[in-house]
Amino acid sequence: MLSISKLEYNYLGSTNLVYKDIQLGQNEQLLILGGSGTGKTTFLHLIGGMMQLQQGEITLQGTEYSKLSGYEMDQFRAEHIGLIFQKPHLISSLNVLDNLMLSQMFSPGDQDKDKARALLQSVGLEGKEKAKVSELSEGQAQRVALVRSVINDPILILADEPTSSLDDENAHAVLDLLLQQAERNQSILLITTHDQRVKDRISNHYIL
Amino acid sequence: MNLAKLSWKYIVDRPLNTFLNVLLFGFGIAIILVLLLVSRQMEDALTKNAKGINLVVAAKGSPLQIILCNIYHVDFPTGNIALEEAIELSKNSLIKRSIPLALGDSYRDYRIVGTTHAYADLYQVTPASGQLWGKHAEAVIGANVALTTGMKVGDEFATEHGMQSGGIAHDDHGMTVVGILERSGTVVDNLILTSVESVWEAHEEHDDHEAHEDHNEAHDDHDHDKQHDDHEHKEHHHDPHHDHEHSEDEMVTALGLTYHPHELKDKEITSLIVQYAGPMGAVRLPRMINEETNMQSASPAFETARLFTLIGTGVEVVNGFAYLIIFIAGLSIFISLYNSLKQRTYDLAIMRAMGASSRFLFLHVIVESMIISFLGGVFGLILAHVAVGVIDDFFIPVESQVRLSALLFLKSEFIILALSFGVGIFAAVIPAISAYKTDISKTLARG
Repeated sequence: MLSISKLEYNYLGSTNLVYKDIQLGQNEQLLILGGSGTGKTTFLHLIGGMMQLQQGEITLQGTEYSKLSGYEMDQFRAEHIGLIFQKPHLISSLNVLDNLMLSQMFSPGDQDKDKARALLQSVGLEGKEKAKVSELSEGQAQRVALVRSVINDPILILADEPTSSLDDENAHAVLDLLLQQAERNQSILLITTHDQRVKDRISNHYIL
Repeated sequence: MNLAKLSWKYIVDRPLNTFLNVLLFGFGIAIILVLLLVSRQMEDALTKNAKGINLVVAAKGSPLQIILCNIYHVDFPTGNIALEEAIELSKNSLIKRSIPLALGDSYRDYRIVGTTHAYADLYQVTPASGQLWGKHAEAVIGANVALTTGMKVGDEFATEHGMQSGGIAHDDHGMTVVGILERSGTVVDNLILTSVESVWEAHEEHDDHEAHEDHNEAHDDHDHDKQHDDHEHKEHHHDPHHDHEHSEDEMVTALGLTYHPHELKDKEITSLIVQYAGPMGAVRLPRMINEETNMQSASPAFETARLFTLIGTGVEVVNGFAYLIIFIAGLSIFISLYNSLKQRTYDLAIMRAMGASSRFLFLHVIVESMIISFLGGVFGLILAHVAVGVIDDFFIPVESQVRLSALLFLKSEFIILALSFGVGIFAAVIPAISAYKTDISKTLARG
């Protein structure tokens, strides 16, 4: 359960961003729409605990963000929140499997290579475990990034423009997989986008 | 996946950079360690050779030369001292033990040292085969002498006048090898030991010839003839059973040497090795000898220390360069980390997004530098010991007094390794702090 109340953010010398209260339960999705500069990314980063709260409160699964120290927030994020970005941003010094293991390392549970392999298989990247990141296509890399975001079975998946740099085929494939993985974990899914291809697939919209 | 593995992956991802850093670090450390190992082993070898010797008394001349000649057997004697005077000095109550040395002859570049058994005792050498020398024309050879000349017990050789090969051979004066000393790691390995009397004999014969051929002075002739007679006389008594004490009332023994009393005025030795009876010896003897006798005293401790101050300046300079190299290596690590982190800001932010704490990123950078400096340290350590081994194998002759061991490890080596480890960590502090401060949101928002 994700609950957002009275959330506001103020960049110095800029307009105040005010967000509406939101409550989302398991396996619910929300699409966040809006032009650039409307505070989509800020909203996502606040929910991801990557920015300090100024006003209001965010609660995920009974944990109030404002009560966590910076270090506790990092731990909490590692365990319960999966993030995916416009670009895959995989770590190029590591191979595909190690990128996934890195994500597992930050989370409290054991590192499970079989799980990583199984997930890679489920997104059609069987046999790419040892591949260098640079050997992957953009679509493949984004799928690895997707697996990375869900490998710790997060309660909440935050996706920032996950399809906007992909062609139609890959965009749909990634979106399918995203919905599929969210469903598998019964995760809450938040996506910011201005991509029409996404708007057609998810009905719950929040326009900033 | 763990912290070390993650840092390692980043290191191998930049092989050239890593190679350069490890190389720089390794060379800096290797230079310091080689200097350390060589100077320590040299010092040890020199100290070992001078062990138990408080003072060397020889003819007036340079004290350093006296030490080099009479202890390390590399320089030439300053001259001779009168046996009478040496005996007089040895009676001094401040002296516990005095050992006479008679130098001047050699065989195939190996110096022949006329001395007493006390000398073998001083260096604690015993024959590996055979026995110690007797009074007449018997020699005991050091381990290296045996090794390079191939002489065995029972072999005879002709001594040469002078300390380098090519000297005038005492053709008619052969010596018999009666013993081979076991290896001691001291200068004795390179010496041929015999009695002072044997050296005298060789020189009397030699002087005889010279007198006949060159000088033709009646007085000299007479003198030497007499000595010659004496010598034959002595020979006669020595050969059968060494029983001179019973049969020869005229013979006198002093300093472990046997001679006729009326010969005393003519006899000379090269030097006297002295052991003090107590600390007062160090205070009074050198001054007493230098001021009241015709002889000169030299302290091995003082002279070797002086020698090391001379060498020390050079070592300091090279050492300074080595530390400079390590500093540059540290700087190189700093720069390459700093540059790579600029490219890695996004990686760091992603790691933060995945839940890595700031502390983790700090350690991640520090560990990376630690691994590089560790590799550099290990490389330097191996390089240094290999270099010492190579120096020993290719540049130091087998019979050298100072042999280097590549397998000697000193405690101070590990202190230097720890120090360089510290340099590595220090070099990473600033990049690590900037990693620590990575702002996830701002970095990610930049896309």
